Amino acid sequence: MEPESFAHICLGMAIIGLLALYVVITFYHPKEVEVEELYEKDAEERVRLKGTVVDIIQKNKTSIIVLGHYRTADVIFFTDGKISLSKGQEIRVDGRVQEYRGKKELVADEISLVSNVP
Amino acid sequence: MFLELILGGISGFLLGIITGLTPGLHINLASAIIVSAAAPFIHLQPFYFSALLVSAMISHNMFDFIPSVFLGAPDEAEAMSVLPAHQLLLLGRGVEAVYYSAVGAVVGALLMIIISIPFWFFLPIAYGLSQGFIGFVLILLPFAMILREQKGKRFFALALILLSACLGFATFSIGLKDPLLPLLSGLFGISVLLGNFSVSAKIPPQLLDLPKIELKGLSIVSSVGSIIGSLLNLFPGVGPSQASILTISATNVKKKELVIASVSAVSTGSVFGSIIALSALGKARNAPLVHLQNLISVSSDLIAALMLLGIIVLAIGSLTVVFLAPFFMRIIAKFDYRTLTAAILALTLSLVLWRTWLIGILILSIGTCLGIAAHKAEVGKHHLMACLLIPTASYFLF
Repeated sequence: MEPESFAHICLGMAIIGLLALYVVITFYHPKEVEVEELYEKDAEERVRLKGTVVDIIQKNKTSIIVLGHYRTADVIFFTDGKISLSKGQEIRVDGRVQEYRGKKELVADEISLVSNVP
Repeated sequence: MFLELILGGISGFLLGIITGLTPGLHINLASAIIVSAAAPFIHLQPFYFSALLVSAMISHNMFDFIPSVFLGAPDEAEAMSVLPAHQLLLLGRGVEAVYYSAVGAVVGALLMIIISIPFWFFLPIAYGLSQGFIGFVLILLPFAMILREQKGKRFFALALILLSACLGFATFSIGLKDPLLPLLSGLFGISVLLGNFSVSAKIPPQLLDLPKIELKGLSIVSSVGSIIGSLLNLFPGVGPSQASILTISATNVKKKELVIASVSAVSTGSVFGSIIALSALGKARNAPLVHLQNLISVSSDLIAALMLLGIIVLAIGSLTVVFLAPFFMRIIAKFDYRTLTAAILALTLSLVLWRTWLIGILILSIGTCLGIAAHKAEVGKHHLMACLLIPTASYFLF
């Protein structure tokens, strides 16, 4: 086979692979972890964190949602408006782990309500 | 502190030899493994581990050229030099290629030491000035590189850039533990390794005599390479392969030996520049320095000590690498080249599967297709670096 034809076949396979990858990403959910487990995760790892809201701190366009009971984790959420959550609600957060001043925290991409009851 | 730095330096040097000689193991992954393994003790001895990380980074940077030459398993930093190095290997001059790489690294490091203080003052000013247009530079760079291709191949290069960028966006959106491992192994590693199956099963007999070096030409290309490599620290996402192209264009170097030396100097300039940038800008440009930043408060005294340690490690490393190359070659020559390549492929696949699971294998496969496509169409593999450049540019622009 001519090298150029082989190159075009490889390019076609890469396109098919990319389409498959986008399908996988659409249905891909990060691994669900508890608050305690967040501290064992690597920075930049994407996780789904489930926990109870114990505090909410609003600073300009940044909200810091504190999740947990005995051990807590900060969830950072960037929003233009005021966040409509309250203490005691159970939420699920999809986001990316980051390390800030030696402490692990989660930068939220998506937050969903699991339960209103503490 | 002094004793901790010395012991850390020795440990890092030895670890760097092991990780550098392991084909397909990138320094980012190597440092992640080191930090994970030492996690219970790392905060007890911060000076020891800081020295260990810097020493391992420099030592790895020296020794990973050996598998690049003898096995054709480069990382991103060596992607531009592996072809001339492989050509020298097939001419029986593989040891010579390692020698030129070591000398290029030494010249590059010496220059970085000489200019370290003015560079420390220059970096924050240049960084401040570059912030306004950094996104445009990053997005235009891959497209400007198309102009270096022959007219008939530019459309193919454009397709490679766009597909690599899509692969980069997709990979980073998943949030894998180690996204660069499947991405760069596929684009630059596996695609080259697969090519080894089509070459002769045995490496030709190698010359062991070291050549007389043309010092003037080598000093010029290595100095330019080192400066360009150090400036990489201003442009996140721009890798040593782009810097190597700029260096080769700027110096108009054609000789294979000088190309190898200049690419090695780019890589060394980038490493030493990143240590200075950590102090001057407070920004870590690679994984070992990110770990170091999390470990210890970075002072100018510590940076000076680490720079000194770095140059000692590099000096010892360059001598060791030249002595190790014939030894490594004798071992390699005993094995069937294809069997060895298959073993490295298996190792890379295992690493990808371990760190990123099946989704990593899919990314690796797509990257491999793009790498082979570039190779077969005889289009520069540096276009594939759009997988990092364009996602980084979008971060600055949007």
